[in-house]
Amino acid sequence: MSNRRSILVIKYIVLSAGAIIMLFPFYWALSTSFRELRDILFDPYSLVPRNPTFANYLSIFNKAPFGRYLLNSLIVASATAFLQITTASLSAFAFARMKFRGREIIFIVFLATMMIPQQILMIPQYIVVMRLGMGDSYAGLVLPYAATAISIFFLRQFFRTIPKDLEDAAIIDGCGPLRILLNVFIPLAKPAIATLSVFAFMWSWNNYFWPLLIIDSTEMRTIQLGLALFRTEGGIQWGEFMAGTVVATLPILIVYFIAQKQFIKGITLTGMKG
Amino acid sequence: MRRRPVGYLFILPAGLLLAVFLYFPLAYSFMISFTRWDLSATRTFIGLDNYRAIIASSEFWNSVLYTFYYVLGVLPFSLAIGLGVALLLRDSNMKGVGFFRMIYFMPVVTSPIAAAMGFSWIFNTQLGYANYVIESMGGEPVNWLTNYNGIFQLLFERFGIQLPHILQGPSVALTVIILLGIWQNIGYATVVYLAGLQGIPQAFYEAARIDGASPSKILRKITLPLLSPTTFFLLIVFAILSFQVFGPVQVMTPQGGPLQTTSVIVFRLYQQAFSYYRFGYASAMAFLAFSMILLITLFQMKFVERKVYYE
Repeated sequence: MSNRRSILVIKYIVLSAGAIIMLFPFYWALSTSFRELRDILFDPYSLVPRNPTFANYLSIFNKAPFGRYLLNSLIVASATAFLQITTASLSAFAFARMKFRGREIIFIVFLATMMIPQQILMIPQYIVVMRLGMGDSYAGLVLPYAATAISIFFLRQFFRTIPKDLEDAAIIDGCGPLRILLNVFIPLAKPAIATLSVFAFMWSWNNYFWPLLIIDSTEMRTIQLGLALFRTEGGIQWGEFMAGTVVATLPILIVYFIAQKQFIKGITLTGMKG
Repeated sequence: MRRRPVGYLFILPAGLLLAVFLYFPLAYSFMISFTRWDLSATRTFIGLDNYRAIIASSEFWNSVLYTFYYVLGVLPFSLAIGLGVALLLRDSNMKGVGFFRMIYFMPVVTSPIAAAMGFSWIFNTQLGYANYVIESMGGEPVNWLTNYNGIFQLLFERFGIQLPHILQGPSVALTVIILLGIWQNIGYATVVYLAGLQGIPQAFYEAARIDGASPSKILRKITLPLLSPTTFFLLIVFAILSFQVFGPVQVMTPQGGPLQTTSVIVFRLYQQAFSYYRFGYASAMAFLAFSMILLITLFQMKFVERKVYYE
């Protein structure tokens, strides 16, 4: 019995040590963001800032439109998630429950897009978006990611598990396919849709490469782009950099804390089924 | 079931978007990879010249080498540590499992840009915490992100051995970026491994215990083989994603690192296209890189999967 106990204690010690290492970068960014410049230069290593201050936060919002960056990211990530869910539910429903010529082939053609790596697409996508006059705009940030094969695939798998009877009942009541999708399938697929939205939102929020390519003006920068460029444009103000880092990270961590279950479930589902 | 041509209407929005932003760009990109083009009106068809030039360029092969260093550095550690944490967390009766899982997963949701900012600060030469720890233990401070020496070379130098270029290992700067990659992957591997562990029937363990098998034998003969599909999945996902690393490289070493030792493939690609406006050349590079990912994935499927045990 005592042997078991000591094993448990060792487990906790190892896990806690690991957790401290995993958390340290977060803590260190947070702690630095509350330090005065003087403290950063002459006493940077105390775990708790000597004279905690909000000055860095005030100053980054003065130096760069961080509020606007956050708003841009919020708009872009929400729109991306919403459109992805819309396009995915429509096609997933068609692939799961409607019959039309070439259904399986079209489905495979859709799925094949998952194999195309981002780095091949970035140059022609950039050219397409510029030619369509969507450079430096929300549309340019959102539309290329408004339909993805993975979300269609994910929802189709879920829709296929919904019992046929429910659908038949709705057909007898005289519902068309759109009605059935909206009133039967989407309510039943809420958990899957929640998972998908959270992932789409997080992915879009953290995306850096695409905004880097198509955004020119300061006002249209997303938070990731704004943060990265703030660093290159901002000299060596580490207190301010870390304040910006905290500002860019906090919203997504809040989403994560609220929707933790969706994250874990989504990874377990997509993770195991490829 | 009735035939419903209305089905086409349902797949139209997604189909249209995929056509404009994926299928067309793919074909277009293949086409421009045979041209010389700086986005101006004149686009010259030059056949395979881009591909030839790339294959003859030592810069390209260096970037391939650095990308491999990155992938091979990130993969084994992410998998091994993720598995270790999952094994420690698998007993769901233990208190605090959810809490630890939450913490280990936090870096996964953090943006690579923010994470790279945090790591740049910790590994800052003058004021970073890493050097503080090293100095307080009596060591010499390291110029992390500006050090181009390969880490294996640094190790062997003490014995007076000069390694050939390809074996010198990732530069110190690239190693910091590798550490960041591992830090961001562990939580994902942990969660996927935990799901894999749940799929192993308890009966196997009970049988092994009755036979008096030692814990290490149970790990080697039951857990690891039965987890091999999970490991294989993680291997493929991490390989594909690590191959495309870009954001952290650009934030931590904006110029491509000391002596270009952090210029991985996608970084070079970005430079060629958006700094030098060589769009044809960069497209050709993208296709070469893609063929490499494809080859590696196929290789993994063919040879590594043989070792995978499916029930």
